[in-house]
Amino acid sequence: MKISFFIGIIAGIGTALWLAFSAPFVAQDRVRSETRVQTNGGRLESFSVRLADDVVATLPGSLNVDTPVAPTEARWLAELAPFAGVANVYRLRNESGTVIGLASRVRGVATEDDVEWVLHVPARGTLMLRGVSVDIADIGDISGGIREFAALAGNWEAQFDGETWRINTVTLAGGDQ
Amino acid sequence: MKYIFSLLFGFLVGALGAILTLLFLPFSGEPPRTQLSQPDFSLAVSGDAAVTVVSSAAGMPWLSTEPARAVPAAVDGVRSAARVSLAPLADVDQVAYVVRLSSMNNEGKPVFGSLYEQNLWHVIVPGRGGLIVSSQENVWGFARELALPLLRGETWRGDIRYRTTAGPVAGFGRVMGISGEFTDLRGRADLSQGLTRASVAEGLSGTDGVLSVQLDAPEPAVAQTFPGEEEATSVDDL
Repeated sequence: MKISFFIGIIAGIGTALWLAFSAPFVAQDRVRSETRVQTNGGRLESFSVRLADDVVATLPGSLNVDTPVAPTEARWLAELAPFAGVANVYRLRNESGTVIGLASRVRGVATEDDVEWVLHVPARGTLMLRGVSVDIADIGDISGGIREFAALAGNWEAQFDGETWRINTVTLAGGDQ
Repeated sequence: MKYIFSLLFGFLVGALGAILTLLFLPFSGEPPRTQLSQPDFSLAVSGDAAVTVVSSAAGMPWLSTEPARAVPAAVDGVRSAARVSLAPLADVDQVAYVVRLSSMNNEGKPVFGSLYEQNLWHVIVPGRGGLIVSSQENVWGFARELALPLLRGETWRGDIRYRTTAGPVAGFGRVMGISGEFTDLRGRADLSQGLTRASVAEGLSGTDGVLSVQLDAPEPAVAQTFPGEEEATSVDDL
């Protein structure tokens, strides 16, 4: 009986260690990335944001007082930290419309038309975009990325058709440039 | 039959012993406590309702916090937390806006004392410019303290406070200047976090932290000399 008890202890320790080593403590849902190779080089990946459905927060700055705050019960504290632009937090979708993460868009931090997007996909990493806002479109260069988006460079554009932001990124791996 | 019971009992004792050992004596400790030597500025980042505009933690209930302005319905399907808050700058009468996007990643191994939270900070300093800070936080220290009380359904009260930043750059977060006076600047960041209360029903309460940012000096512009030209070395040469 003693022997079976000790065998049990060893098996228990082994199982616990094996689980601690191999079992994923956190498993983020991963959606297949919808990247396409461009004819002229580079890889295109599109993301989208549907307004109304995907708005987590809209925070207008001091020059955008007509823009409604979202969510409506949010206490907006523009008087404490005035900036001219608009800050948004959205759900982020892939090209097929599946929610894959979160995005933040901040416009007008330093000048009226500068714009920054951060696309955060928990299962893959983060892409940071910087550019300028021109009418209903934002355009610029990819500033950098984290994890699977690290070492990517390229450019991007985000177009708004009144209902949807469509963000197209064209990336080149570091060695391709 | 008694041999089977003996085997099962031994299995439970072994597994429990291993789990408790890993919980309190993992093979690797917490991240080194080296902090930034000369931060350019520090932000008080708090989960307090008084400075939080929006907070949401859908899909991450263990990261939920107390503000009533959470909008979980708006982020269904996202296993990531978002928080927009005001963050006063230390030693300066100024307040920054901080958009924080967080998610747990699967690179941590509890057996090595690591449980990683990936953070993206979109920092807006009005009148100065914008920064993006990416950091990987090892929150194993919190998990270890909270695991048993929360599994027992109890409310945990205490005061845990430590430097959590573990990467991605040699134990520091990465800073990218995006606009204004920070344009194209790079640097490092670290975050110290604290927690005073937690329960399954209410999530985490009394969370606060200090995010410190140290910017590197801009690289000097390299003068280009083209073939056939010589670089001017004095005013007389010009």
